[in-house]
Amino acid sequence: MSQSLDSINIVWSTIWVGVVSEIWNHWNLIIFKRGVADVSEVFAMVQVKVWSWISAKSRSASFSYSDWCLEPSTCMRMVP
Amino acid sequence: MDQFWQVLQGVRLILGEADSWIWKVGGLLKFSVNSAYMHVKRDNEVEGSSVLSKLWRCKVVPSALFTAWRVLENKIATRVNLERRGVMVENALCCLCGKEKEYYCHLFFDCNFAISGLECRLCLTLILSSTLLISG
Repeated sequence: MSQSLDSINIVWSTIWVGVVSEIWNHWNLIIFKRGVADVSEVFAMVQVKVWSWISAKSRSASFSYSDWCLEPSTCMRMVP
Repeated sequence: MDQFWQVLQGVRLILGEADSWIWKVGGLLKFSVNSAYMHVKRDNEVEGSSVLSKLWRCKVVPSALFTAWRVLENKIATRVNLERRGVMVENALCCLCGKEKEYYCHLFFDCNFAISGLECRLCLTLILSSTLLISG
């Protein structure tokens, strides 16, 4: 149990890093490429990036992107 | 002048021996990466927190990790920080909401753009995960 809690913890930290870095990227986009502030895009990018990072960095965690969007908490338990 | 003289008194010159550099850290008089690392590490040990060690364990690409580290340490180039470093910026107001000064905590945790627009989904994520990051 504690191990699965720990893995969820790591995924949350990863999401946190994803959100922070994506807000930063979006900020740069607005300033340097005259983009428009679009929060749903930030959210979507965080979803994609965190999924790709986790599935690339931990080999035993194999879940599809659609699973990750629909059932994130179940997917979190699969991360070692 | 007296102080300078006293310093000079302490110096002993040895004839017939060329000047050379010595490495004072570690007591071996020879440079080693190990001793330099230990020296730097000892100085930073007070600040080294569990939050950061937790951060490095995240399964994240290094560039994003570096951005997150800069945010936590307030090294990120927000307009307030740019102004403090003497870079010319038009104003220090946040570029997303345009109302408040762009401190790093405003930009990432406080800005209305960052919170209201996401209908609290992202906000909840931020709060939950930052508490986990700090407490865990």
